[in-house]
Amino acid sequence: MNLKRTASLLLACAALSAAPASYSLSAQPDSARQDTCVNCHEVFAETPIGSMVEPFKRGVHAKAGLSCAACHGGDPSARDKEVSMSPERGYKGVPARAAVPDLCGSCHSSAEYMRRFDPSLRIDQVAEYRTSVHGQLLAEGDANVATCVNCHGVHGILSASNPLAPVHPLKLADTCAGCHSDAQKMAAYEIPIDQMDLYKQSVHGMALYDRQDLGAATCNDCHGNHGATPPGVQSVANVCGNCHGVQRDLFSESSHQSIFEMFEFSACVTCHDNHLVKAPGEFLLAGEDSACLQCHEEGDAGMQTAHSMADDISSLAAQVEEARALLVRAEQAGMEVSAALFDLRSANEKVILARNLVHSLVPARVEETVNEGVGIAESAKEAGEEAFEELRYRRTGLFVALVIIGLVIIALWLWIRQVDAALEGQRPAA
Amino acid sequence: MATRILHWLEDRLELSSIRRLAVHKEVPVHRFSWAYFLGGAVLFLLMIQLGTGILLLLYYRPSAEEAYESVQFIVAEVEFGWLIRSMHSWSANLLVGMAFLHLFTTFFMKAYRKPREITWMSGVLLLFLMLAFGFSGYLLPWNELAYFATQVGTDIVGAVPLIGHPLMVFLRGGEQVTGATLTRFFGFHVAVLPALTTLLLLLHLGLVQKHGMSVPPKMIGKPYQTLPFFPNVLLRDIMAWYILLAVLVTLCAFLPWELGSKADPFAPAPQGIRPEWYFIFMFETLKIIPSNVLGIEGETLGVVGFGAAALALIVVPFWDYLARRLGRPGLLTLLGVLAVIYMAVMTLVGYL
Repeated sequence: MNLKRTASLLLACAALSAAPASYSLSAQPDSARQDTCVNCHEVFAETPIGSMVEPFKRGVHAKAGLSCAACHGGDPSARDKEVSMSPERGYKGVPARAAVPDLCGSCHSSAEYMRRFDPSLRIDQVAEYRTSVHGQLLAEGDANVATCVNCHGVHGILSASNPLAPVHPLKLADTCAGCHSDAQKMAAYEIPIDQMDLYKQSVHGMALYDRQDLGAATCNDCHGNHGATPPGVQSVANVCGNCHGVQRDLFSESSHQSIFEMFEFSACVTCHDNHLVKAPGEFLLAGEDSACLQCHEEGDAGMQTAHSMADDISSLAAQVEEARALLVRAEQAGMEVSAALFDLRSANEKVILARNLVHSLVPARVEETVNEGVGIAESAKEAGEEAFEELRYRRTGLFVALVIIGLVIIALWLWIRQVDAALEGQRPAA
Repeated sequence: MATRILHWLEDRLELSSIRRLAVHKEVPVHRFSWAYFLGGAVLFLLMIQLGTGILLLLYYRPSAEEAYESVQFIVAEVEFGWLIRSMHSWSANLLVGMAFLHLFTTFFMKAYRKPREITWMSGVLLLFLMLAFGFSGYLLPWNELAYFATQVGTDIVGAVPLIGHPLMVFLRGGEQVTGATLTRFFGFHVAVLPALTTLLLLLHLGLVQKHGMSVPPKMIGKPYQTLPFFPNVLLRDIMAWYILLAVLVTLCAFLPWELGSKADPFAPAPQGIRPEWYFIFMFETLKIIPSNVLGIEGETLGVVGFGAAALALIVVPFWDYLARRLGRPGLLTLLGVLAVIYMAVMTLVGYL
């Protein structure tokens, strides 16, 4: 704490001790007198002892009608601070860090209490927290681990759907990184601190930050919210499968399933990585970055299968791109090809489907889908070629039309000369 | 047989009177004679508009659900539909350009002077009708740019004092630009505006025939040569029309008019929303007027200003009469030059 902050805290404490004498509650209207905690602390809004009032007022608890006393105890109706903040009136002061989960749980774990505010709210947060790594370490006496307030904030607690909340999808990873990217804090736990950097480069991170896609996975989608724990080898496929169900089902039916189980390989992470999940592509099958090479060798049956599937999909993707480029050029030349461009979308969908079918490890299934896509791409390419044929026809037609118009103009010009000459002949000489 | 038919028609229609009029019509020859072809060019383009417009009507469907798709069908599926649609759009733009040129040359040659005041006024009103054709026709394909440009355009109408809001609601068929606006604009475009145009055009052309071609003021009282309208000038007119046709088909073949993407009222307005080029100078003016001038809303001030300018343009012959009475005959020409420079500069600013 720097000197300036210390001084302001001391000054505020001194001012608060003098508050009953200098601050007349009787001057306040009846409605404002109902919570003497707020009335007194907000006078010192610029100091640490009053700065929590405004955030608290904006938070969900104040909006639900709760007062400071709900967490800190005391009597908010008593005008004298010696009374309102006395142990006799239940004043607890600042809760100990280890006691925070129980304090929050005293309300949030009660179905009867919580249904007054929102019957759909879950009430198992504290129970889940106890199963989390955070909760277990706290139980072991480690007071440095995250409790409720580290993620949700202290006084200004906002709903998770509020974009300003630290647990909103767009902010959650930063909230987790507040501790997990801090080398000093993490040193004692011997865990990596590069998760956030890797996540930002991942397909999930790019979707969330670049496209603002709130459906993209962030920390809690894989690790859980209150029960935050790294998913184990056996459960990671289920975690990814929550969103990528088709791939999970295809993989679980594939020959890899039993082999991965046997060697205790993590189903999805082995090929796709965890925090740095790569955007899917044929590079994962063939080429020097192939994930298959972790277990297979170039030339073996597995790699031949991988190459076969990669070649099929790459070929389709290239044909789709070629058809698209042709259609775009035709469109730029002024041709109407929107229907063909629309149809080409389904060929692109076949590329995506074929990439999914790779998880089945059955090249015939991939090939069948690729062939369907090739048919659509070829039709689109034909439409593009027809558009250019039509364009050539138009240009030829224009040339013919211009020649005819030119001939008519020449004929008119000759006619005009003729009638002008006839007129000159008729006019008397000057 | 043919002679008998001609006699039969002559007895009933007196075609010889039209022939006599054509034979006797003379057109002055001087260094600005080219300006006489502009009116004919406007008429030619108007006929193209009429012809291509009727052909488009065979397939066009005036509803928010079908308008875009029907134009897409015309462009992609109908034989030569692309050509008809492009000719209609390009010719509309050439028409407005030619109409402005016709206006400027008539103004600077002072062809509005007695006895041609009503010819001038009907011509200015015809130009306004052409602009209304442009504004209403722009929305009909129901594409994204047209949708938002119409929203901006009708918003500006809303700034007219007193009747602005009711007028905007009348134009839109509600508070917002919707399918009702499209149907309404279609009605204006194919029924109301053509009817008004036909009436004014008949008056305008009738007066041109009645009064003949004017000559620049400097030539009045001096001897000058003339050319018979039939066939010498008419042949030149036809040649000019063929040149215009060549320009038009070349534009259509190389730069077919774009359709863009379908209007989506729930989508955010795309960047670069602006009206057709002939409204740009007004659009840019409204942008530079401060939001509040002496307690009057800037947009209202701009709209009132343009309304006043339009009225002033209609009564130009009377301003000219007043200026001559005051001994300042050149004042109006100077104002005209300044107005043309302003319009050109503001249009350029809009595209830079």
